[in-house]
Amino acid sequence: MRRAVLLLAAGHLAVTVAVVAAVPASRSIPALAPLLGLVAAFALVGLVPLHLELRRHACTVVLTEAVLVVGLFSLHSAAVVGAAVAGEAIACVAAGQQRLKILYNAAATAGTASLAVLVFTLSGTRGAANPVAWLAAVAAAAVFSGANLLSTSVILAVAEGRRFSEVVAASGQAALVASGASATLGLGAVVLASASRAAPVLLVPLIATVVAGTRRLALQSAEHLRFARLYEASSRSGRLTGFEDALHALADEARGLLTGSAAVCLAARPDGTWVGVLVDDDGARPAPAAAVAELAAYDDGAGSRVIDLGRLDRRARAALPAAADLVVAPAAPGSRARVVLAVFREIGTDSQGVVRAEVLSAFAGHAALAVANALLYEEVEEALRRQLDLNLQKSEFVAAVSHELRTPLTSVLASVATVRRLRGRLDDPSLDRLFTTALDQGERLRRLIDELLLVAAAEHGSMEAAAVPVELAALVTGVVDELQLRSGGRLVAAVEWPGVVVSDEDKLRRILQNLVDNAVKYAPDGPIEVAVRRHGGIVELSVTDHGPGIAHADQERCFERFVQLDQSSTRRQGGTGLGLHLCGQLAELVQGSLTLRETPGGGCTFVLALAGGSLPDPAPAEERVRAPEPLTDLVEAEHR
Amino acid sequence: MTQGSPAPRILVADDDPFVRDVLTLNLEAEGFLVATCEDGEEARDLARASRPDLVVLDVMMPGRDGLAVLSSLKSNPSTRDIPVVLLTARATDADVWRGWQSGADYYLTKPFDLDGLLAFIGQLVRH
Repeated sequence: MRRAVLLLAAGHLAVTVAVVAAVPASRSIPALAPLLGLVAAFALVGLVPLHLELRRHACTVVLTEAVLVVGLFSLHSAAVVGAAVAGEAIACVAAGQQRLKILYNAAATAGTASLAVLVFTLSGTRGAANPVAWLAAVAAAAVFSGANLLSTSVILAVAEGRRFSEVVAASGQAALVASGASATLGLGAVVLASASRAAPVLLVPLIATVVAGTRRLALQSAEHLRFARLYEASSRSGRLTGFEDALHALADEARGLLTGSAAVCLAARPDGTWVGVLVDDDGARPAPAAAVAELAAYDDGAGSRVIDLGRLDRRARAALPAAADLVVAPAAPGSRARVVLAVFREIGTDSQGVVRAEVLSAFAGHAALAVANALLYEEVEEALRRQLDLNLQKSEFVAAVSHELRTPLTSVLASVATVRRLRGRLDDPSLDRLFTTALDQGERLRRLIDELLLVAAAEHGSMEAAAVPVELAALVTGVVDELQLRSGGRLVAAVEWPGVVVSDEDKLRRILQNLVDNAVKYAPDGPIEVAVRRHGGIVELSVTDHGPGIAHADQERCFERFVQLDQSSTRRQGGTGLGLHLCGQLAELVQGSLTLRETPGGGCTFVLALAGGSLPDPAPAEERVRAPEPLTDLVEAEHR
Repeated sequence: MTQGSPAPRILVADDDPFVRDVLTLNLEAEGFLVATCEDGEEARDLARASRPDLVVLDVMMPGRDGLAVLSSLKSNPSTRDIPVVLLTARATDADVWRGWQSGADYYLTKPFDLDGLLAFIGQLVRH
């Protein structure tokens, strides 16, 4: 961009030098008064530019052509070029424009003015009464205006990456109409002046009307265009869905809206972290963290503003893209999302800064809506994904349940069918085996259904835990006695703390039964110890086996529903995949915590930890429960 | 079964001991010679070594699953012609389709109809 500007400026200067060399220069030094008058006139018309903004293209139309025509008739060529350059430079400096822009405008004025002078000089006449000179003056003004349009369009085309012809078409018509009118006014002044020096005064009301009218029209159309752009940008941003995509698109729109060299759109996620996307000539990418931090600071409730980047401290400048100034607009406080838009402009601060800040501020409001929308969309999408996951889990659950129900049912039906089929042909042991199979598998089916119902109840929270005193010694020995047969006599009861806890006896028993069943299934050899202990005020019910144990990686997963760590052996053992899950659920229900530890020397130890507990004494149960636990009991418990 | 010809041999591969037991009782009562095994690897090796007249194959078995055993039997010229009955608790349409695709001669889902299974085995083995 900078290189393109400098190249074009050099081109203009080359044209100027060539023309000044070609046109025979007058040796007379022009009178100072008309020269200064002309400079002043150029400066004045430069200072009241008429901006015609067409889409993203801006074209400045001024009354320069009128002054140029007057100059052509009253001064010699070099003086006209000099006055035009001086006037333009003064206007630019007075407008506080950036150095590069001043340099470019001066060079462009020199180049285009010399071309105009060349055209006028070629006609060979400069009499104010000569129609040929009139034509030459209009032609010169047309060349001036046309050359100006072309060089501006080149820069816009380079800056915005658009096709040159598109840019010319977008702004050319208005520029030529305005400069035609302007040239005619100048010519009128010249002709009138030849009749009487005071006559051009007659044109003043006309000029004033034209200037005021076109200026007003231009401002209106600029306003209209800004709203049109804002509307377009907003309506496009209404369709955004992804969060990052939204930031990208909004930064892009903001950059286009303010013809910036770069733009950043940053927004706060629901957790308060700021995320930013930077868009510049190289495309879009996540904004550097330093820039995000720097820009997020503008979400301070002070509204939109224009910041001269030269005035920021070095650290802040280094974090941001290189530019002359920064238009920054946070979404108004109370917006549905916290958003800050920042547009970096290479062309320095000018009279339009405040308007730009307002436009960006308005767009920031839309941006906040778009971002809130995107966040909501992501949230809904996430919820939907979770729901789908859950659905999938449920389908898998149903498939697994169906499989688990089929296996015992097969044995039951096949055993009974065999008995009927081979009636009278079966020996007693076979008959016995078949009946046992049918009964055992029927029992397994019943347990499975029980567990399924319990899991369903626990998951729906429709199960309540009782709170009554539970004699732990009786509980442990009861479970051991009940399951001793099924476990092949491997169960050992270890009652180290024969106390009482207030809990739900059925659920505690169910947990122990399931843990014992689990141990019997997965630890084929060795004793299985069912114990009750007390450590530091916590009652621990545990089931210890000496089987193969559970791999570290699987220890977390083993409490999940239908997680069968080893499908085949689970199947062989007739597991439901629900046992441990149900234990975990029940433990939660009785406000205990179920954990898995490794048995020293190999195997699993499942520990159900319960808070509270007291040692039994001869007093009735109710009183025991209500009484605060005596300290001596605790001490005694620890030393048992 | 004609007098004098050896009894047809049937291999039952299922990891569920009850299914093995029930099928053995019934098939022996029908006059078949029954061999059993409880994993896929063993089923394939036994089928290759002894060329039974029919194989009853469970799908979910430790080692090598029934479908893999089926494919390897059907792709080996020496075992290609042995009829295979798939017996499985996997009962979705997709599972059944995969079973047929793998070249099963019959596909039964558990719980199975014992009379139907025996009748079918009788037909397959005795033509």
